[in-house]
Amino acid sequence: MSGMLPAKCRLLIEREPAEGSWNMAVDEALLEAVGETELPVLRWYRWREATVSMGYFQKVNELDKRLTGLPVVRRLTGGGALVHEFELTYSLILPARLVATRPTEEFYDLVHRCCAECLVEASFPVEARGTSRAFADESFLCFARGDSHDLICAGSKVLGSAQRRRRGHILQHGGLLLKAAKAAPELKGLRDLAPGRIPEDLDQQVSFRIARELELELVSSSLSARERQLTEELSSTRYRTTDWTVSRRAL
Amino acid sequence: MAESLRYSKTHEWARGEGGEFVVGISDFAVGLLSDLVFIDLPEVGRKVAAGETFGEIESVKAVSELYSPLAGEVVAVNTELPDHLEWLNDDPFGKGWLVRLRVADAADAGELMSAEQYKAHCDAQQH
Repeated sequence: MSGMLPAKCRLLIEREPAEGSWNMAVDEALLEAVGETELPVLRWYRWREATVSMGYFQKVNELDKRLTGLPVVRRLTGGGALVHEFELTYSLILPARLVATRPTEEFYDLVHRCCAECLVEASFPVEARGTSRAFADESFLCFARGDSHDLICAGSKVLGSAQRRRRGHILQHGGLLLKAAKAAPELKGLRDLAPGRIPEDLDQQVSFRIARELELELVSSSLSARERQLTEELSSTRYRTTDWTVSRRAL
Repeated sequence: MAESLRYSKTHEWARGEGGEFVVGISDFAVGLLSDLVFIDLPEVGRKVAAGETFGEIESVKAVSELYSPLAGEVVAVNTELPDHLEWLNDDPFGKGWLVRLRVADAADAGELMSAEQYKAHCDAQQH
């Protein structure tokens, strides 16, 4: 790897659950800022209440009826909707210089592989799906869909990720399903599928493996003043607005 | 790669036609995307700056942004394309065009890359 590449990766572990609009605004703010900082970021975050995040191109009127009572936020990334309730959520923000080192789809496999290694060590029988699953009518929910990058446990999808590519930089985020959400009980999580115990520091274990694969040194970090300001702007002008959530129009 | 076009670093191409420019994305860019599922293009009448996002395309759960290579006004949009995304693979410099721009200053196209320069740019991206 070239000596020109950033040698550090910021690690943000947020223990305090936040609203969906704030969580999505932070991810976009980090994507905006990565062009300036040039430093990759690995973030882990939680949700204040069960929340639906829709894929960028999804239509609100196609929302599964069971989910209509939950808060809904539109993501910047593609793919299907997630119900974030019992989940470990991550985002990986990569500057263009780092993105250029491998095909962009490999970043899905990188995170999923690191997660799988940690879970296998904890006795969960997880593996990459490896092949795409075809659907006549694609489900609204991400975890009812299938592609080759998915991580599966006992045949069920437990980790899916999606990306936004902006000026060469990438925001990739995804959710590891720990347990079925109450609103979508058919989509089982790790605890429903296998008897293993999920390590309390799984987020850190996975982070160390990702950083090692990217040959980066992890440094504990938090939002900068500029990133916090951007987050507040994006939260109020985009992610909290009906225009964005319903019509995909930013103010 | 089409020799007569001008290219941006973000892989859009522009072809001058009677004072207007037809804009699309290159075969190299399409090759980086796979399993295209959605495309969002601007409305006719929208004014765009050079380098401004004017559309988005989704492939394998990744949304990528499309940037206008020139400043101008959108005077036509390939409205059939969202239902025929295969055209981007099959004919990215023809039926896969995105928009037609009436540009503010046609001389701006001179600042875009030639096919030869663009090929070197793509080669550098492939290491």
